Amino acid sequence: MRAVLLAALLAAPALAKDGHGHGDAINNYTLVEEADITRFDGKWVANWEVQGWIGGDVNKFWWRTEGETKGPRLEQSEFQALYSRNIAMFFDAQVGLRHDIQPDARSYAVVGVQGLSPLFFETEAHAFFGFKGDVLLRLRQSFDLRMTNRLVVQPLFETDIYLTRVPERLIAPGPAIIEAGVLTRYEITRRVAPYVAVMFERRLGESARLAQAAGENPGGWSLRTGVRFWL
Amino acid sequence: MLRLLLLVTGLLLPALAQAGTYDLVVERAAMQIVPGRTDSVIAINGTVPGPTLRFKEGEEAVVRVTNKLSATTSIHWHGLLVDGAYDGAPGFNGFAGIAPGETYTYRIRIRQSGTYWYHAHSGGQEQAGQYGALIIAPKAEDPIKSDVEHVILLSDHTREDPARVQKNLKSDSGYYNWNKRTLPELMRDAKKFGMKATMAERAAWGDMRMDATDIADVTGYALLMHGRPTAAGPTLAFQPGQRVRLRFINGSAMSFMDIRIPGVPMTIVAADGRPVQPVTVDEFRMGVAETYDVIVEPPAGAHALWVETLDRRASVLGRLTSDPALTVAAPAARPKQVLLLAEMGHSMPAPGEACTAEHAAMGHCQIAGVTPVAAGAADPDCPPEHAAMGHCTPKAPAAVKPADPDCPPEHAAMGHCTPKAAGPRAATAVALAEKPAGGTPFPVVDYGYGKDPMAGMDHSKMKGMMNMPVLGKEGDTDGSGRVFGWATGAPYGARVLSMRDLVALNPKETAPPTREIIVRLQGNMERYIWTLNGHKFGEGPPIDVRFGERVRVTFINETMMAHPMHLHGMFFEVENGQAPGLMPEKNVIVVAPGRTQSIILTANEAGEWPLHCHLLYHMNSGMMGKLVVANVLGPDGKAVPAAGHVH
Repeated sequence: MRAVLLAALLAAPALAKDGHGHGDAINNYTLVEEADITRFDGKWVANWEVQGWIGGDVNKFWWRTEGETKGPRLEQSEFQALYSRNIAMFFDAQVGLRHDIQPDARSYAVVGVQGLSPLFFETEAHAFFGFKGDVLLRLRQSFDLRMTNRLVVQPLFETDIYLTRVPERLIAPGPAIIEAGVLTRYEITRRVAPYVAVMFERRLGESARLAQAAGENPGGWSLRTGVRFWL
Repeated sequence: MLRLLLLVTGLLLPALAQAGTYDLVVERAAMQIVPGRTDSVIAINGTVPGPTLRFKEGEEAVVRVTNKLSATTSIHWHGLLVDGAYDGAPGFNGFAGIAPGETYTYRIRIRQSGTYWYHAHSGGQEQAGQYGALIIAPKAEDPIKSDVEHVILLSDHTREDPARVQKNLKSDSGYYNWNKRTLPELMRDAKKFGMKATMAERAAWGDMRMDATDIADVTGYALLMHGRPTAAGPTLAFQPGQRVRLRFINGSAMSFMDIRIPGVPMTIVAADGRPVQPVTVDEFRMGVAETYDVIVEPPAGAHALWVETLDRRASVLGRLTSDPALTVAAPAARPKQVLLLAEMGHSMPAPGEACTAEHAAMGHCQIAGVTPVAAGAADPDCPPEHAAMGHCTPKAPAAVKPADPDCPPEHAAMGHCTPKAAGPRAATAVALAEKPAGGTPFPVVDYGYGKDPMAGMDHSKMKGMMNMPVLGKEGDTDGSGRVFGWATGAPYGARVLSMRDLVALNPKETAPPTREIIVRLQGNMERYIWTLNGHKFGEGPPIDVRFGERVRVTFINETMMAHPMHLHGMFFEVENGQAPGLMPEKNVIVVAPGRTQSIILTANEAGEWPLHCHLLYHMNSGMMGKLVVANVLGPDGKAVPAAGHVH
């Protein structure tokens, strides 16, 4: 909550200006990138990945949440509240806070960039500095390949690279988790697109061995179906 | 300062003949624009478009506009010479718009004649239906003779809320483009041009993060011909033998249009309300907010009046008929375009620049000497080089009627007089009657929308954008049958209007401009931000011009879209290659992608005037500036607007 308030205050100058309606309008956008339920490891797994913003062309309040429930249990959940400022033609710099409820409660300061790289790669690169001393980098890339004007194949790749050991989360330094796959969506309208995703999500190296030693599944292939939509 | 304005106006208008009073009520309405569905629109006096207002030159028009909307509104008189306070653009000249429930009284001394229009200048209201035609009869005899006339106000209707359209563009700039290039298209291009060349071309577009198929930002429109889509059968009646005057107004929010009446040549006689020397065309392209007056003498029967948008995704079919029982059919579809990155560096010589034999042979230009300025001596469709190459046969010179003895060509060219009796010239844009051996499937059409800043340079030695790989030449087709280039679509042999063909009917004495003002048209399509000189409206300094000053304004289009640039309050002369006194006066000038176009403005109307792109969502995303005409500098050295009411 504090994070949301802080980021909202940072973005406030953008919201306070009196508009003339020629390029100074306050806009907003909410993208539910992934919302699906699937069977994995003998249980129903629900997954969400949502982000959005409110603001002008330069200053925005940006928020993001992602998480997963397995059976009745909340497996993982994180919330980010960021101040986002346009720094280059296609890129925003972002600072703010992240708070996780699961697997254990902890908070981070966030610094990063988000935007559109050459060749239309959607790029997110953030560093997270945990208040308990843990530090990680997250990189996410995705790309739209159009089969038709409605059928879009979207390869995507995301990795968490830890710089510190996080025993509570069974994490060792290095590239600890990767998520890669292909999300194929059909744009019924530009705003609503059901999808089928073939994803490979797994812990790597020592982080995988730590999880296995603790009796947890280090991850693997999954087939997910859901709906991508934006408001 | 207001006094000065009144004084100037008073000098221009020695007497007021009469006064007409008009009432306009702006109101939300649910209406069947497209048969079978009811859409929410903004109507004026209960109709879309609003009533056609008919003023007379010399009268004082009093227009009371009552706002029954829940939001502030406005009415702007497009192309009218008015006192700043009555121009109707909120944020300028102290005008704050018309609040809900209020009535605002416009007082306009009509000191011009011709075809104009009016529309809202607040948010997206214009798109919702708040527009109408405005026709002004000349005080004296009309130089344009006709037996019957039709006002053809063209518009693009959507059932979406304009605010939603803007939000969609801000969220996803490709939202309305259902013509994006696909993987199968890439494979077809690879088959035709080779995988390496195709990938290099796709990578070049990807590096720029631009879309080669971004021809129109908004689609899903129903084109309307005076409020009627094709399904409602818009019909224009005439009697055989009549001279029919068609007053075309592009009152759309976002749509460039190509207009033709297959089998019926059209003679352009006025542009943006100002008469021009008659020029005969088979088709013409209309930028948003332009008006053209056209004379046709159709043979008995029914003729298709075919209007389609540049991206070919919306159209309206009208019926120009002498018999209400006859029907018409739409002409065959034209290919969709795909833009060329190198189009920005395409070597098309500009007016006044050398026209090499190579270019002439490509149909890009005509060798100097055959350009029909005042009275055509040669057939502009068939310059001697082409005739020599066997490409065409020159027609008998049309204008070699006994030239007006009062006005020999030399004088006309100097702007001293207008030759009377000279028959219409033919449009110059398509010079080749048929496809030359080895030519591209479609001719490159020079619409005359600006010159190529890179013309004549060796592109292969240039860095950056000009060195972009291309798959085919302008006019070629890609692997999927799309045609390369923005300025394409017309077939060989079609006479297409070029901006260079426009010659003012009434020559005038002119002085050269004393300084140049550069206006760069820029944008970020991906984030849907559009700017002038890098500034959104209100962010940059105004353009200050002294009262009476004569300036050249040069628009440099650095984007991949065409922008119809509009100046309120004054006409400007378009530097289109015609002699100084004969340059056409307009209030909208289209600047094609990557092109540079200059205009000359005599700042003889004091006030704060909007200068903006007339694509509604470009303007509402920031593409507007303020041009201040004043003659006093304030204590801070900045110009003080002459019209007062500074806010």
